[in-house]
Amino acid sequence: MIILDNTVLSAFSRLKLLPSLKKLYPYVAISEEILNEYSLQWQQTIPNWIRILQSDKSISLKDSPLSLSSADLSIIRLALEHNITIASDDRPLRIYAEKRGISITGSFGLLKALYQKNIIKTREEYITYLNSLQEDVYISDELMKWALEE
Amino acid sequence: MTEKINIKLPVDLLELTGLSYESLEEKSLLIWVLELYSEGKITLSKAANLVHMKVDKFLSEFKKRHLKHIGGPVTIRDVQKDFDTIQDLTKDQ
Repeated sequence: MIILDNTVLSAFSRLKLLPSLKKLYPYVAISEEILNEYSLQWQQTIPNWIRILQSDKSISLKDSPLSLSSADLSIIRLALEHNITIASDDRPLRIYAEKRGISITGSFGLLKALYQKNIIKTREEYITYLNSLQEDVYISDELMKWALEE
Repeated sequence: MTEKINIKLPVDLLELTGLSYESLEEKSLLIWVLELYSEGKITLSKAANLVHMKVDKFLSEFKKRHLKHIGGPVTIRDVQKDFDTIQDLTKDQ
């Protein structure tokens, strides 16, 4: 299972890649708090196979930085409780998750995995997605070069 | 309730923008928060919370200004680690 924060959820929804993500991971989850941060209209676009989980608020995160919200902390709690990887493009969240021993990935790595597993079928399509992802997260020349290596 | 501070802005901004005092205050806050999010200093969720917006609405404000979000992995080593994590999770599929 993998849990998405709202950077990856928003990016993959905009890119219309959530169905492709299901081919990579049969179980994809978000927290109820993450869901509630979107408008009702947007919430209705989330596929029903994405699991909505409730976090255990009794898990103490007193050392969490001010740069994170309560919804961010809800996915940290879920990751700790269920030993799940978090997908996030938010650096403060990634840094704190790593500090808590949670495994992390992001949109960029997910996109390359979709291509390498032939879920994104062509290189042209992959490059189009990479370019479009730059609307959501900046990709340096160095990282773009890595992404384009076969 | 979040504790607040007062900041001073030139009064000319009221006339130049045509905004009311309250709207100018809201807009100033939005600009600050967009910059903090753009620089990767706060999360998307925290940014939307600070300006009392839904995440989808905040993202549309962000994108209409063509800002870049500094986020995700920093180095090749970081992104390779992200990728290896995915490979490990999907190797049996």
